[in-house]
Amino acid sequence: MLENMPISAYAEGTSLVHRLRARTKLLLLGWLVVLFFLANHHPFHYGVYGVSFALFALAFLDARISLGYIWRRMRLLVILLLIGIPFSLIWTTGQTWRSFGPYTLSYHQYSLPITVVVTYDGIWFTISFTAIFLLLFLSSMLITTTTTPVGLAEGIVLLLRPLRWVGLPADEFGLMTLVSLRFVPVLMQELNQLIKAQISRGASFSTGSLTARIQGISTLLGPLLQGALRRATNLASALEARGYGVTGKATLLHEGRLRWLDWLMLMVIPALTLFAYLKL
Amino acid sequence: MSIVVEHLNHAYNAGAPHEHVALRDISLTIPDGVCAAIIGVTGSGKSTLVQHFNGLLIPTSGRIIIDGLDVTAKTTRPEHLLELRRRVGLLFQFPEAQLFAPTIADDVAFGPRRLRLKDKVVKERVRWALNAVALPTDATFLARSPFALSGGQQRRVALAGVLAMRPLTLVLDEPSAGLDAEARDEIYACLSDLRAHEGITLALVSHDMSEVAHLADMLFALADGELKLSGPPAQVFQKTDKIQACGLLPPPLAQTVALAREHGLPITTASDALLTPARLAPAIVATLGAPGLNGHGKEST
Amino acid sequence: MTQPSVSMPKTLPASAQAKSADAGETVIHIEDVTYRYPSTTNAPTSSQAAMVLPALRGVSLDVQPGEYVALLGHNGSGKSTLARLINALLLPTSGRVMVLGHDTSDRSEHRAIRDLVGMIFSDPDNQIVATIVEDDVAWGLAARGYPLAEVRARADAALATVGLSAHRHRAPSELSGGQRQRLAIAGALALEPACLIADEPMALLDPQARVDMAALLHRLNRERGLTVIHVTHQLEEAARADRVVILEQGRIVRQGTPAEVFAELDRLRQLRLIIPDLGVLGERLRRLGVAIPPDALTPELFVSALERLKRLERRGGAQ
Repeated sequence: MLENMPISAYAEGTSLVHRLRARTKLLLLGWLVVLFFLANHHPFHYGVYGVSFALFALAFLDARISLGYIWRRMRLLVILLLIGIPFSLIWTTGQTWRSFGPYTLSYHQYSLPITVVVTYDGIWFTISFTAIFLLLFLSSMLITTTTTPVGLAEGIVLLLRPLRWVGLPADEFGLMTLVSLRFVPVLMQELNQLIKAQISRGASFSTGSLTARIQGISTLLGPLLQGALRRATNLASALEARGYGVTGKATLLHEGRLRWLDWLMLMVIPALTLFAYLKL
Repeated sequence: MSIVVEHLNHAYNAGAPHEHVALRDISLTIPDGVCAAIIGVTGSGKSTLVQHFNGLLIPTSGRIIIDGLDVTAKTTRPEHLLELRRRVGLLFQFPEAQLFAPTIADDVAFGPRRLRLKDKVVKERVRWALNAVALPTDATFLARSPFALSGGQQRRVALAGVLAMRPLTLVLDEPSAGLDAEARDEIYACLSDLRAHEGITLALVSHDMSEVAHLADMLFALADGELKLSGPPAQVFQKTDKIQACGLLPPPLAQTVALAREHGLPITTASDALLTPARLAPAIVATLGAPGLNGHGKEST
Repeated sequence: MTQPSVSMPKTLPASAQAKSADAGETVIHIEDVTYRYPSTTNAPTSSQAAMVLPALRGVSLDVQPGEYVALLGHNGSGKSTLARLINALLLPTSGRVMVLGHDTSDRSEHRAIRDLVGMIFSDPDNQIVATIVEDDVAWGLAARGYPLAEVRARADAALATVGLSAHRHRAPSELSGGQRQRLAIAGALALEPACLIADEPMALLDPQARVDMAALLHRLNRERGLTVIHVTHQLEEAARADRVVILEQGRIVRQGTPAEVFAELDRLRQLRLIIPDLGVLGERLRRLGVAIPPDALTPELFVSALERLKRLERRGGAQ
C-alpha cells in the first residue's frame, strides 16, 4: 500500500480552479465547513448539500479531474463510512422511523431480545456527517490537485499572518507546511524500506503472535525517529547555508493579490450556498 | 544453494492505470558458492530483483527457484517463505538505519532470538557474527550502543545481525554506498573472507562495476528492467559500448584501454583476465614502442 | 525573460563588494583557526565526535578568486569541519575566517557571507525544500525578498546553466540522484555566489553522474570564474583541481598542485588515502621509465598523457 501512494498530488493545469488563489480556496472551504455544521441543525433540508456538491462537480469538471481518479482515492473513505453508517443509523435516539424485529439473540441458555430501531434523527445525522466527510475529502483533493504546495504554504502563511500579533509564528508555519509536503513521501519510502529490512531479519508485522508483532513495531520506532531527526538536522544546515532567516518579507512565488476571479468566487459561492441554506 | 530465475516479470500496481513494470523477462542462474554482482543504475530494477531472492517480492509472472523452493508454486506456504528468509540473508542499502537496540549484542541477537534459539546458542551466534565482520567480541563492546560507532562499523553491525541467522546466501544491496574508501575496503574484505571460509553464496548489487570487479565471479548488468549483459567480469568489461548503453561505466582501467584504442594506441590485453595495474603496465610499455624507451625509436605508421 | 548566458561576467553583486582594501585578492582567508566541537552530537562523523583532539588545529589557508581547491583527507581528518567554517555554519574556537572581508564571527555579516558562499552537501535529498524543481531554485531568492520577475529570471538562468530547464515543473523525487545534486547547485547559483563549497558532492552518485558533476563543477569554475572548494576523500576527484590541500587530524599536512601532491603516493597511503587504480598504474609505469604525470587519475587525463608520450617518441625516433 505504501508503494501505491502518489508522490505529488498536484497536477498542472489552466482551469478556473487552478487560477484561483490558494487563500480563496481555503477561505471557501472554511465557509462551507461552517455552513455544513449549521445545516446539521436543519433536518432534511438538502439544499446546502445539493448546491455544494453540484458546485464540486462543476469544479472537478473544470479542473479535468476524472471520476475514476476520485473514486480510486475514495475507497478507504467509503470503507470507513460504511462501518460508521449502521451505528449512527441505529444508535441515535429520537422519533422512530421504522423498527425491525424484535429479533432474539441466544447463547446457550441466555437470550436477548433485540429490536432494531431506525430513527429520523438517525437518518439525518447519518446524512449530515457523511456530507461533512465528503466535503472535507473532496475539497482537500480539489485543493491539493489544483494548488502547488508552495502556493498552499504561502496561502496558509498569509491567512495566519494576522495571528502573528498574538504570538503565532505564521512564517515558520509556511516552511513547516512546505517541508512536510516535501518529505512525507520520502519518509514513507524510508519506512517501507525499513519494514522490508526488518522483515528480512526475522521481524514479523502481519503474522505471528501479538508479542511478536509488537516487537516488530518496536524495531521501527527508534530508526524512524532517528532517520527523521538526521534528515532534519541536515536540512537545517542546508537551509542555513542558503541564508534562511525569517524576515517576513519573503517574495511570494505563487500566491499573489486576489484577482477579479477570486472576488467573484468569494461573493458568488457563499451567496449561492447561503441562499440554499436559508430557502431550500 | 543456487538461485534460478526463469522469465521473471515484476510489475508494481499490476493491472492499475499507474502500473510500473520493474522487471521484464529476466532469466539467470546463480550457482552455489559463487559471488554474483548485479549492476545497474538507480531504477534499472536491480533492487526489485534481489528482493525476490528472499521472498519479499513474488514474481508477477515467471518463476524463481531458490534452493529448490519454487516461490510461485501452489504448494508454497507462508512458513516456507519464513524459512527462506533465514536461509537467504538480505541487507538493504544503508543498513545502519535499521539498528534499533540499546546495545550491539541485543541488535545482533534479534534475528537468532526470533528463531527461538536457546540463549547459549544466541550468544554464540552473536560472537561468531561479530567476529566474521572483524568487530570485537568482548563484553565492553557488546554493551556499547551501536550509535557510538562510526558509519562503517555500524554497517558491519547490521551485517552481523543478518549473519547471526547463519544464512547460506547473502544478498547485499550497495554494500559500500556512502562509505569512505577505507570503510569500503574493510567491508569487502569481510565479504571476501565469508566467501572463502564459510562458502556463502554472495549476490552483490551495485552501480559501480569497479568495486565488485575483484570479488565477483559473474556479473549481470540490468538496464530498464532487462538483463543486458552477463558473464565473467573480465569478459563483460570488454564490451564498453554495451556497458555505456546501460548508463554504466566500465572500471577506470577498462575505460582507459578502450579510450586509448580510440585514440590510436592499441593496447593489447588478454581477454580473459581482469585488468590490473600489474598486467596493464607492461602492455602499455609495449604499445608505446618499447624500443623507443632506450633510444632506438621507429617511425610508427 | 532574459536569455541565460553561458559565460557570466565576473563581477560580483553589490552585496558582495569587498570590505577591506586588499581583500579583493583573496576570496577566503583562514587564519590560524582551531575548532573544537562543543558536544558529541554535532560532529559530521561519529569518529570525529569520539576524538578528544580538536577537529581543527591551527589551520591557515588563503583561497584566490577563481581557484579550484580540493580539500582531501580521510573521514575525520577535519575537511568537512573546515568547509563549514567557511560559510559560518560553524564559528572558530580561535583564529578567524574572512570571506571577502567579512568576518564569520560577526553574526550580522552572516547573511552577506551566505550570499557570497554557496554550499552543497552529499545527500541530494536533504537539501531540497520545495516540491517543484523551479520553486526550489527560486526559494533562496524569494526568501530574501527579491522582486518576483528577478527571482524567476535568475532561477531560470540557474536551471539552464545546470541543464535542468526541461525538468522545471517536475517534482524533485522524480529526478535521479545526479539531477537532484544539479538542482542543489542551481539553487546555490541562483544567488550568484563568488564561491561554491561542495562537501563530498559525489559520495552518493552513480559513476556516470559523478563524471557529469565533475564536468559541471569544472565548467562553472572555468567559464564563470566561480571559486570552487571541493571536499572529498577520493583522489581522482581532485586530479583536475588547481590546488590540493590535504588534511590529517585537523592539520594541513600537504599542499600543492595535483601533480606535486600525488607524486608521493606512499605518503598518501600513510595518510590513509586509497590510491585509485590509475594512480597505481601510473606509479608502476614511472618505475619502468615511462613518464606518466602523477595527476593523470582519470581515463581522459591518462590517455592524453599517453598520447603526449607517443608523440614525443615519434619525434625522438625521427631524429
